Amino acid sequence: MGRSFHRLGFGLIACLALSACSPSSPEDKAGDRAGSPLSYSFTLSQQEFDALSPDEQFMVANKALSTMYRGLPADEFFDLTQGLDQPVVQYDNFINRTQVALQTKLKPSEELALEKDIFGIEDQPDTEEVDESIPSRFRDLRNNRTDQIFLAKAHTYPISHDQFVHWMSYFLANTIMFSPALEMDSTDNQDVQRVLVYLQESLASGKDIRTVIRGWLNNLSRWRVSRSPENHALEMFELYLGVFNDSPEEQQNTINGGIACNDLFLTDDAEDYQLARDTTQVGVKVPLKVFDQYIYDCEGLYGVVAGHPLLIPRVVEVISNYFLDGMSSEKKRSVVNDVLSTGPETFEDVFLAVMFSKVFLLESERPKTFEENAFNFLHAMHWTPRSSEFGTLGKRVFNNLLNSTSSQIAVEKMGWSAMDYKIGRTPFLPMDVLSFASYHQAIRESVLLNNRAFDGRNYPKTEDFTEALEPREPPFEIVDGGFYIAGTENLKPELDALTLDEFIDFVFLTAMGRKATAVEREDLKAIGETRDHLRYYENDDGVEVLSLRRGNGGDDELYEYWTDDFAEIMLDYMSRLPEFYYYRAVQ
Amino acid sequence: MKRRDFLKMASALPVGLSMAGLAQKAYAASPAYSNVTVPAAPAVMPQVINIFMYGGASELAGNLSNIVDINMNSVNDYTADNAFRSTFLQAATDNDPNNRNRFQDGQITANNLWKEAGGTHMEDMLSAGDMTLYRTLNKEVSPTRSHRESIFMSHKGTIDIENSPGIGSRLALMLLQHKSSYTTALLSNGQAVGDIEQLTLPFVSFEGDTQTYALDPENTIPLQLRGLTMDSSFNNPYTRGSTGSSEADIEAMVTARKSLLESDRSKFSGAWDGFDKREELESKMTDLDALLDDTTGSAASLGITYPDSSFGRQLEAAVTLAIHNPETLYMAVGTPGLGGWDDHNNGIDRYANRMNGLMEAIKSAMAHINASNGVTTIGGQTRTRTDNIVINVFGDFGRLVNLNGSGGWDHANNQNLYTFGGAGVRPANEAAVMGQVIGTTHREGRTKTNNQYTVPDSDSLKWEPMAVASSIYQYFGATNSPILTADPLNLDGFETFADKLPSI
Repeated sequence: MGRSFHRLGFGLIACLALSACSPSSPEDKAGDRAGSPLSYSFTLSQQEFDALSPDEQFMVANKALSTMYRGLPADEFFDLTQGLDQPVVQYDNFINRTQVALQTKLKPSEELALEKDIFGIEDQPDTEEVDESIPSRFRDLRNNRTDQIFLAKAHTYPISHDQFVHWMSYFLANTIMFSPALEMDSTDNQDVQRVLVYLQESLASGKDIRTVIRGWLNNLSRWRVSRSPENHALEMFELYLGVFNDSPEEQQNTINGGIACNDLFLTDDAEDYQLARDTTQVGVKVPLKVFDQYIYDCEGLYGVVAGHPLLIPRVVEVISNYFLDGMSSEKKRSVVNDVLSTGPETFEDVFLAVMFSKVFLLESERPKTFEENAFNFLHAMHWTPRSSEFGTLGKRVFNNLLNSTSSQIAVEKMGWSAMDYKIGRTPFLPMDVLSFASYHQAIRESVLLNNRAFDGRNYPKTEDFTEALEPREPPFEIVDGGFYIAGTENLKPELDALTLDEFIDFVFLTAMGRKATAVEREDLKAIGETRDHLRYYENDDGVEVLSLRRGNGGDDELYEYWTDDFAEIMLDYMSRLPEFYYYRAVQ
Repeated sequence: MKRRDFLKMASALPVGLSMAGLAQKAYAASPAYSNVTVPAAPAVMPQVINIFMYGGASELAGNLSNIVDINMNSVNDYTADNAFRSTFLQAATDNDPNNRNRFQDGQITANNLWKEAGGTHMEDMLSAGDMTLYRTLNKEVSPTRSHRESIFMSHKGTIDIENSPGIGSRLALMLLQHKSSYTTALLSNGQAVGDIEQLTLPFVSFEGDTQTYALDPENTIPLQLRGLTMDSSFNNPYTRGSTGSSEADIEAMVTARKSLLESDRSKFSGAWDGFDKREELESKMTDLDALLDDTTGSAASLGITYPDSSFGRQLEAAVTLAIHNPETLYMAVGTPGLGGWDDHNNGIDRYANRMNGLMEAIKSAMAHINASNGVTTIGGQTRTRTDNIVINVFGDFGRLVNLNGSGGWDHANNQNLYTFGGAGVRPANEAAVMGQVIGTTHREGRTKTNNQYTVPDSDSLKWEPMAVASSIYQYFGATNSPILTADPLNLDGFETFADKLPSI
């Protein structure tokens, strides 16, 4: 167990604000939802994970975390003091720890501290005590853009049930089942907030799938998407049962469902698209047959859908399709069958089973979404938005990602808008030429070559606070970057022991999940030398040693500054490889 | 096996419960392109712009012929205060587009179009012989009211929607199969096609990733003939910024690595193709971008103004590309997602204006096309004719005609096809009906209930929506084009418009 575990969190977060650590704080319900590792035959067990090579373990660990837009740094996973040629895993029990962490709630004090870290707090002007302010991790997180806030939490919270819930909510709100469909005239940002908060509260409290969907069916935001009684019925059947309006029987179900809900209607634009009731038409006089059950009103219809045997299979299938894009229908069906055989009751059950399935973790080679690819890399490089107030990956990163039309990293340009599409994001990443060109341009220029966002040079450092006009201890955790000690261009001690080849592998493993080939290493070293970014020499044992490291003074001191520049060449190269955009299978 | 039987069989399977998964398993349906007969290339290569009204537009803009009966039986009154006002059922007194005030004039035009919902523009285009309105596009083989199935059927031109190629891909493979027939075919700049695989930007989408270009799982389409996407500003994300002095070295490394990974091309096909296309488009998009400025031959330079709307800009880009690049043969235009025309509630407050904006933009497009003879193409030649550009407009399906309680219309079947231009590439009997309205309908369904709709009259001509696809293949020279719309569930395919129109 290294000090680095503290960084990734897994339920253990730093005491970020003194007030949150007060003995008088209400304590503490941590672990009241602590779960246990999965034990299904179709999910990857810890034992099976341990049987993989260290490189494969690292790749698989990051594959799992990347789906939640997170990443595991190589300097946390491996003991880099022993180099990377024969890597030694220091991060034990990844599968079990992660699964348990995802089911373990944060303590209220931890959550409070994280809220302060995300949003910051102002100094109290009426006190003359020391500066108590906490600079926010993000800026301009507006209440009417709840999706930004949810992503901020999913990125900032340690791996935990709370983090999982925020990510699941964001994920589900981008599926056809819960999309607030901002592209439509009848929806607005209130619907984004409604669906995310509804999902977060429902999932956090452990509500089962049927209850969550039953509760959503009569929500204004669902009606703002479906808009008329008949279409409300039709969409219920399509979205939650996978029954399309195809046969005469199905069309009659839709017609009858529409009649059952006929007392409800959506007002027009002038009346802000509210769900209203025509009290002259409440209920129906005769029972209506829908899916061989008799109903009398819309409430009855909701009950039929929420209780229908196709509902859980449909939910499992919708979620699985995102993870298993590109796999054969047989393979997908086997995963759906396997998940169903576990009797999943909650969305959490489904996500955990699919995310940790052997089919996904060991076999999937689907394209990574921009969020999966970029943020996996950034987290693995110890990224912090505090590296910049206004930079693309700085404190406004989620505004740039979700709500900007001009930012390079706007997912809208990649055909991958969030919260926008009526049918949600497709279960496959758009790879048309325009979408992919935008993806490549964004990840290359705004992420991989944007080295100040992750190398550590511009990170807040302890001295920013301890040597300020009014000295104080840092009000948030000071973190080092991917290469440098926070706020410096001094190489992190974790990287000291790496040879030049190992440093190249370190960057390759982090960005692409594999080591460099011998040819790639030699080519890159040649370019690095040409650019005068590095010199390497043989140590006493005849091994080429990275001369970017600090130590002996003289020229070595200088070249340390160019670690990020040399890495930039590698990252530029990788960004141009088709394989960079795909998950890797375990060979 | 009939489709119904197939669906029943599929639904009995234990898991993989979506039709997508099931149909994928059940069969694949790549057409046999060698069975398509192309005895001769067309006199001039067509250029087709397919505009898809996602969500399924109401037919009423183009068909008020039954509106009195519809209103009499509708649950909600079209003429009531909260709907389309008291003059809705009255004849329009003029066709003045400036007199579009619904409060002052009737809405039924001479051809029973909805005046305010683009009717004035359609009347103008009918009078000019630039348009044919088909009122009876009705699904009878598979009358689904589902968005997904309907969209996929229309984009693929078949009932089989899983694992089957889109219209653009089928057309590309048809051209490829018969490439020798097209070698000497003329483009609209008077130049010969030459090698079909060397055309510039032959297949384009302005609607993002689209099923129109879904690949054929059994037949490889050369990269050059695959659909590529553009936006309405011809924006150019294909450029590579932040390149340093190591650029050449890095590119050499990439080339070396990719040569080793050639066998993995299919595994990484999306990104691989994207990189290949990036290089091609990096320079071409710069050229295209200039066409939207006030350069000679642009719409603005010809005195034509498109409506300032997202669709107007999209259409201007598509038409500009068609005019200036005769090698662009097929384009998909539309609004991604389902929000656009899915008017469950927006019939009253949005539909008419949206439809009017659509038709106004198309009228601008026709004016642009008609004025573009003689413009210089991006290849430096002179355009010699413009009657090869076809614009089709249709959607998922039609809508019920009962005005529902939310002020809109729910899903139904019968819809219109609005088709424009292209007299030079349509079969003679199809070209002969330019300027006409084809097909008649009547209302059916129980009075004062929601489920009321129009159907083609028994003596009316009528077509399946997939007739649009089979007609496009026909424009490009296929004499048995229905074969390209056939599948195991529909062995005969779908007849073209010309197949059913009276001979001349």
